[in-house]
Amino acid sequence: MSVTCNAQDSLIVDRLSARLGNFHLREISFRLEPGQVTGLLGHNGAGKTTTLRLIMGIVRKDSGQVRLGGFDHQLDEREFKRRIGIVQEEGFFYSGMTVAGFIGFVSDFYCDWNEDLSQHLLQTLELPKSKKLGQLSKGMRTKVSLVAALSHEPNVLLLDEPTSGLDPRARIEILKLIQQTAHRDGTTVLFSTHNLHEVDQIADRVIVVDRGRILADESLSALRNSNEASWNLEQYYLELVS
Amino acid sequence: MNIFRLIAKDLRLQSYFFLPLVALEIAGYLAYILQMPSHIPGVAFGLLHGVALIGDFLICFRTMIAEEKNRALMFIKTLPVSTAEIVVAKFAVNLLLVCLNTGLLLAFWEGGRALGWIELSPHVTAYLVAAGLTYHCLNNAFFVMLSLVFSSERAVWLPFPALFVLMSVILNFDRIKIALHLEILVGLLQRDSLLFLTLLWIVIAGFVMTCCQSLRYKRVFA
Repeated sequence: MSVTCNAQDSLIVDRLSARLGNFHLREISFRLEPGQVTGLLGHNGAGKTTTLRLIMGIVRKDSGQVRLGGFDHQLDEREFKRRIGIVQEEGFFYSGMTVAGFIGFVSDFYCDWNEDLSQHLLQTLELPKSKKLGQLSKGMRTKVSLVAALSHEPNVLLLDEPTSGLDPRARIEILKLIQQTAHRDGTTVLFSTHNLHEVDQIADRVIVVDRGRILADESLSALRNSNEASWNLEQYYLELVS
Repeated sequence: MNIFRLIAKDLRLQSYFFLPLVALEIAGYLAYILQMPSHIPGVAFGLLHGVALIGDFLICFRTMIAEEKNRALMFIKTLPVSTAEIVVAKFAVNLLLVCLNTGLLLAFWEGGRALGWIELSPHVTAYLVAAGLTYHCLNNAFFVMLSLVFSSERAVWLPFPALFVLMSVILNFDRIKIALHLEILVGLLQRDSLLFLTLLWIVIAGFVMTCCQSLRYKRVFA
């Protein structure tokens, strides 16, 4: 029987646990629906980056499951990753490669790479193809990562603090692109952030993590509708974590 | 195919480093050899391998440790490639560069002899080339294994105790041979040097397999 996956499949994270030194991520579970933007909210060390790395298999889990359609993130590693695009927050690499060289290198790994989309994104985000990655600002490098993550038209887009340290213009451009990717193309988006305003601005749903546990997993529109008009995300978050 | 893509990427990234490394090795070698008494047989050739040994370490350092430090390995892990492909590609590119490095140094030696600059033995034979490549590949593969299984910091320090263990094994080889009943095997390897080289390549393959297995259990792939 062949395993398949289509654009309508949800990303299922089921009781995912991992211990990293003193930090313990405890039985994280959620289900991400296509076309939905989900904000993974929490303060420093809450477990946001670890959750994203566990999904991608960079960090080894102790227990639990991650599935996208028929694909398990460990058993069907390559097929699973072919359907995921990720932008990591930390550092950058291959500073000697040009933007075009880096995109070319990444494109070789995806059989469904959309060259037209890649060129369109490079143009829209005003990325200089011949410039070396080491000469780019943090915002530009994030944009390059985003082009690499989006050009193979992934089912799921994982973003680890994509706007951290960016100037307002780059931040607005990236948030707009994330929202467009989810709502227009039906991509499932999970982005981690400290910024409550960003979640309020573009997310359809919020998952609050604290000390390796999920404190809340709610639809933002449901939260707004079921509370008073004065309800705001900041107050809600502070009440949860305090 | 993914393995070849990863190898091509590393070769492209190391192309600026490799030729200066070989030039530096030859310059360093010449600087030392001019100060040495030329009549000691084998020393000049041994020194050439000493220089190549530094090359083995530096090639690993450039291709492995630098990539680990700037988290590029973590990025590679997000691409649709398996851990085994990443490991095999890393070993392959290292062994390729080491073979090229050792080959160029041996060509320098033999070229020098042909041009009359070097009047020392040995004359480079096919067996000497095969043995030289094998020893340097083994040396480099040991460094690559350490840096993949442990962090780069540990990989720098681990060869030191390993060196002492190796020296103890060499000094007490006759006793170890008797204690472990290895007389027949050692005798066989002494008679058939190609079998000995094959055994060393099996050890290198063992390093690759150790990495493939142990990285599955590594907590964070970086």
